[in-house]
Amino acid sequence: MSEIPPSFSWDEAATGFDANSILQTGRDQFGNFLPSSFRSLDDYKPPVYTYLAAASIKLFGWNDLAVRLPAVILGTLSILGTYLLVAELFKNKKIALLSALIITISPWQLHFSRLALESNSVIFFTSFGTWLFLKGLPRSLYLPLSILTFGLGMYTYHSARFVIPVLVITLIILNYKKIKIRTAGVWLSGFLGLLLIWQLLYTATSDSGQMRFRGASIFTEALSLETASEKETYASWQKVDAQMQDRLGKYWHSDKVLYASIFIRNYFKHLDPNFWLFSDNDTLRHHVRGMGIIYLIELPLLVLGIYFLVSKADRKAGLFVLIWFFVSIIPAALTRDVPHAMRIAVMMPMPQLLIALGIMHTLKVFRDQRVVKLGLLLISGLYLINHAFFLHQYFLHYAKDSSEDWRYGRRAAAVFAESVKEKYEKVLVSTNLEYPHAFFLYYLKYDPIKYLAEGGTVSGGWGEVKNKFDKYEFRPFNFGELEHNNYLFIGKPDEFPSYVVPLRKITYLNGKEAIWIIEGKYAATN
Amino acid sequence: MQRQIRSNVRRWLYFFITFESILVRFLFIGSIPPGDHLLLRGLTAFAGILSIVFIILIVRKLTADDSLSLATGLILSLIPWHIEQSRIISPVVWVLALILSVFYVNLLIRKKILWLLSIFIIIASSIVWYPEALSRLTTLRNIPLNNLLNNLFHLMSFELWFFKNDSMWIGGIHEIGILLPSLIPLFLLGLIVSIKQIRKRHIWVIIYSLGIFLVAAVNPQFPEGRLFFLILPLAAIVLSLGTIKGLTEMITSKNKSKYLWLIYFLIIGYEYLWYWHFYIAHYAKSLVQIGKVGF
Repeated sequence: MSEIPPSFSWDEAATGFDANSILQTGRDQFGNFLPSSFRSLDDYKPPVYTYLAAASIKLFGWNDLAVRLPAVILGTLSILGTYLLVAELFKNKKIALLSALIITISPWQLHFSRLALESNSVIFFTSFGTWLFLKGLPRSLYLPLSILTFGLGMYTYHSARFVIPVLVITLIILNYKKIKIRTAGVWLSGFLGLLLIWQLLYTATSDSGQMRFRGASIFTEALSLETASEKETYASWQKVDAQMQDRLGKYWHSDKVLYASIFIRNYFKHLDPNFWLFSDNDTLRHHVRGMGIIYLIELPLLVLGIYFLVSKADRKAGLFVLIWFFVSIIPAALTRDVPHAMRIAVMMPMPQLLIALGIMHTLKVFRDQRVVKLGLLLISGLYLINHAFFLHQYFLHYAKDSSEDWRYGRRAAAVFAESVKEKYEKVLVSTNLEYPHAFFLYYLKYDPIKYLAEGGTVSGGWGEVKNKFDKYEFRPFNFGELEHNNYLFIGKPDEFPSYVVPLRKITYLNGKEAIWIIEGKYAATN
Repeated sequence: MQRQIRSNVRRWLYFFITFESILVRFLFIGSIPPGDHLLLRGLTAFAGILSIVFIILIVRKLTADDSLSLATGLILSLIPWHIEQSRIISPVVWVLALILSVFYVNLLIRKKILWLLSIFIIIASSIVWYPEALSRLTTLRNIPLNNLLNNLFHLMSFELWFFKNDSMWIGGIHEIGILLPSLIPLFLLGLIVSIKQIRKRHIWVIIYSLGIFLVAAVNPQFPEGRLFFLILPLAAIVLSLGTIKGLTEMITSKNKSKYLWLIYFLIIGYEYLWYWHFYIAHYAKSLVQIGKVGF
């Protein structure tokens, strides 16, 4: 688990350090006591995963396995959650079993279950929360548990803060006749629900609560290249309209029209078959090369599943599934870097359920049992081939293919720097290595008590120049100006002039140079 | 359900569609977009109008449904890509007119030998106009499956159909897709209606569609390459099925959903006006600025 993927991402490193810091000090890297939102890399991560990681570190020690373990456990339990949810929703154990089987071998869920990230963990909460709600219709004592589970889900991942309330409202509307209002369970769940909503609104409307949205949304000033280009085009059109004295120009090219069109376009990018099957536009941190988030065989089954859901399945169950599926894309469509497999992960296990429905109903079309058996054999065979290909790509090639995307090499750089740092006055680590302070804190297993005593993290922002601990400073540097100092420099190869001879070169697994470590000209020799 | 229209109303609607098609394709043909070769442009515009006339005749012949045939003709005449290509020198518009006219003649005469001759004429014309695409078909097995699937899915994607038509990069309009984004619900509705109504006798539709998808996908210049333009008549039929369904819902609905439909159609109207504003005020200007006026 610590080798595939080949490295921690910056988010995982930051989570890993925060988790241990909470365990040791009760405070995060910024010194906040038991926060309800972790500032982390200025993305204000929801807290549940970090607290679970802290518990895991307590049990298994501060290592990669312990930090990723909660994701593994929650991902595994999500399979049970899927079975229970589908069995309760459709009253059909065959579809439930099939859905659970499909999500077990799903490349999307399988890969994300191995990462110390919040996105996949939320599936556990949504599936169990829904199951408990449906169980709570005849027996209302399950309802408070359901609300608590949903509540925890909202504190697990940002997208869930939008999706879960929609799911709960949908469940209530579709089942209001079955809800036994005058029971303790309903009153308690209502009270808990209001409490959670109150806390959520408080968090969402605070500055810290909005930071993540501001940082990643399409409305932010730091626009993606595509959005910036579109804005520039719109601005030039507005100028032309003004020159032509077209008074209606403001109605054609207003910002509202621009952002509406960007949102709609981003939404439908998540429904592109190429994204689902090949994910070419998505980072290799989300999928293996040559594959997308579902298998090739699954796309037509998914489409058939939607068709059968609409035409044959129970109307309420069908509506709930479709709402869950399509609403889950909305938060991702409001952000940059689309399409994004992680940001729509909250829709699971609905795609897997639809695929299961596609398989079941397609086979039901044939009356001849021999044809059905043949069909089943064919589908199983195709699944075997697809799954075998995925496992081959994932366990044999993925680490090498994706090491650059995973920012491999930071561990080696940190460990080497730590072994030689005594010779130098300072160790300057370039911020071009992308959140290097998070990597170094985690990989050096730096004592959080000492770190907080030194002042902790100043800011988790991308270009922050003031973070430091011990002899390490994390900032951009001009090697030419500083090379005569007794410093150790760590940066990307293109940050150094061609005449320097690196003390250590660190490469990605594909052989490409990742990091150079250079000592200043007058560095001490012992 | 077949919808018959009184003959004088039908005549006026035919006249309106033809007049509108001529106006939209010939008005300022030399200046929007700017360019010379007016004769060739005029021929392309004429071919575009012929394709509209023939699709109306074909749909009416096949379905005996006046509403569907006229809606299909009107929608085809208003599809942004059809307008864009009809106003420049575009051989694919001539090919479309040829295909539709040959198909209509075959519907009238219904002789096997004529069908075979027609297929030969179309393939021969296509080889003359698009030799690269057809030669690629002979080396189909050398195309990696991933690439082929990628291209096919791109041709089916919402991005191409509704947001960014990258089939003609230099000089083309890629600020929108083949259709306007507001038409997504109507198009999906039309797809559902057409899937429900599809019968064995419509097999030629499926073969034609698959053929266009395949030939477009194996084009070595993919995504550039305008062969996919030949799918427009089918897209117009699907869209007209959805539009008729939507309009029927709006007119016959007794609850508040009729107002939602009305708002939706107004949004389509707004977006269409946006397109025309963009086409007249900005598209031509952008071509002048980049100096591409030779088509």
